[in-house]
Amino acid sequence: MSTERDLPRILQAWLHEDAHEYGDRVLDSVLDLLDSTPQSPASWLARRFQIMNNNLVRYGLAAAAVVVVAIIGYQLIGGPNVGGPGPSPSVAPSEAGEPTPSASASAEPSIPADGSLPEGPFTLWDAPGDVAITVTIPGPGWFGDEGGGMLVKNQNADPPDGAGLIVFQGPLYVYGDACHWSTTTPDTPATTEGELIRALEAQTSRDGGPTHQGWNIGGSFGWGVELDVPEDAVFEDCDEGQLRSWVVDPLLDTNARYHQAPGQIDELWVGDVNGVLVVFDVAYYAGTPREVVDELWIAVDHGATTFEMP
Amino acid sequence: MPITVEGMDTDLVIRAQTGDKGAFTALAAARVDRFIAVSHRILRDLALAEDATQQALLSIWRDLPQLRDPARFDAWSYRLLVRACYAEAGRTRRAGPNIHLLPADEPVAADRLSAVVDRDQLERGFRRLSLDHRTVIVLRYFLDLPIEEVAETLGIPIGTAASRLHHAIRGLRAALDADARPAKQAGAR
Repeated sequence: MSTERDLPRILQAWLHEDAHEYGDRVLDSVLDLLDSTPQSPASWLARRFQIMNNNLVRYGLAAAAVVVVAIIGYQLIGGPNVGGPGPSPSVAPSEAGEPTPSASASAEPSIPADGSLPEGPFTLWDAPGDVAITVTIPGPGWFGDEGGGMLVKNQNADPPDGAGLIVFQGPLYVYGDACHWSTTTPDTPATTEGELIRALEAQTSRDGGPTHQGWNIGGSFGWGVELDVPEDAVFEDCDEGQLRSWVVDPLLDTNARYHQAPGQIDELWVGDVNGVLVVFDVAYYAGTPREVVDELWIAVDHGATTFEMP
Repeated sequence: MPITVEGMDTDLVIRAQTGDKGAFTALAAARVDRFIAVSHRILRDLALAEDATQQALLSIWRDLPQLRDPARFDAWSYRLLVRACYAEAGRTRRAGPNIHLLPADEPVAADRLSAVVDRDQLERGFRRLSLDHRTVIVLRYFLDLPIEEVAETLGIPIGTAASRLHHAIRGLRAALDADARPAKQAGAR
């Protein structure tokens, strides 16, 4: 019934015949075992952090010497110009985004000086009219204002080893050039994940990393995006000495995301929450312990994260 | 607004990634028969195939959060299934010898395959193939996967997959020839 050239066809027919396997019993067994089979956490972020931390240690060491930038970096903790419109009434709008070399941790009113946040649910964002965001504080040593849109580990968001989480909402104006941002503000903002990612990909003076899709936070699906401040970036040569990625309100120049040091790494979750563009931005440095960065993501990449529409 | 929706299954995958057992059940129910069929053909043993399928589905559940692209769920799940088949084959000898009994590159005369090949001959010949060769044949000729997807499923380069398939077919020809040879010799006496 066969010739040499017919063998694949014969094989195909043979493999397809008398196929009467039924999997009900196997399926039942599997479903019975699900409760005792925990899902492993997504680890692609952790793997990338590991790689990046290994490769970029020298960047972090270089960043440590940039004292002025480190001071700016402090504002990652409390400055509204990097953290979005979360309630922080103690900081006047006119001060937004201005480097304040005299600032110190003890002088910053938006950071609790008397203790860290308790483990458990934490209202990360509750600005009126915005999507309220609740995350889970995964362990000790986390600081942040209720609803203020930021989390910082050990009150240290500075180079060479600090880390912070910032959340942004709403349309974002992505500068065409992160260094020469004052003349490259777009006419229209990015209103969707795709528009934001495309704008960031097109942005000059930044390095982009891999983009991943389908990352679920709180039941909303978004993109994982990696951005790096080039190690050879010279902030002093940039507009107003700042390297910026985007701004929420270009007219008032408020709620801008500006960066703290060469070699700074930004891991973004860019998602759509019922039509609202939401960005989680974990910013850290090559010298930041990996477990600190992982813990930041655990705070948001956790089943208990919720989004509540206004 | 899910970004990666390319069909209902992608949505199910994304939900299952966050621990939605209902979504996983729907995914598994739609695939379990096929998984058993594939593993049965690779392992040539229904009990082993069921064990491999069970292990594969549990692996899928466990590792699903690590799947970066939900749209690639099927290729990824078949990779886990193949891995489970290899594990089952390694755990027991019931699946038959995992060795080449005949050199795959040995030239085979066309007229030897002109003879009738029945199901039993195919079964015997197929069982003589290595696990690698049975797997590549099942993926290509049972699942009808293009060679690129065979390669992706096996996690090997396309050229390697094509070469493996080529040698698998040659090995099967050789096995069929060897199966037919004693009968011919007996008939010549």
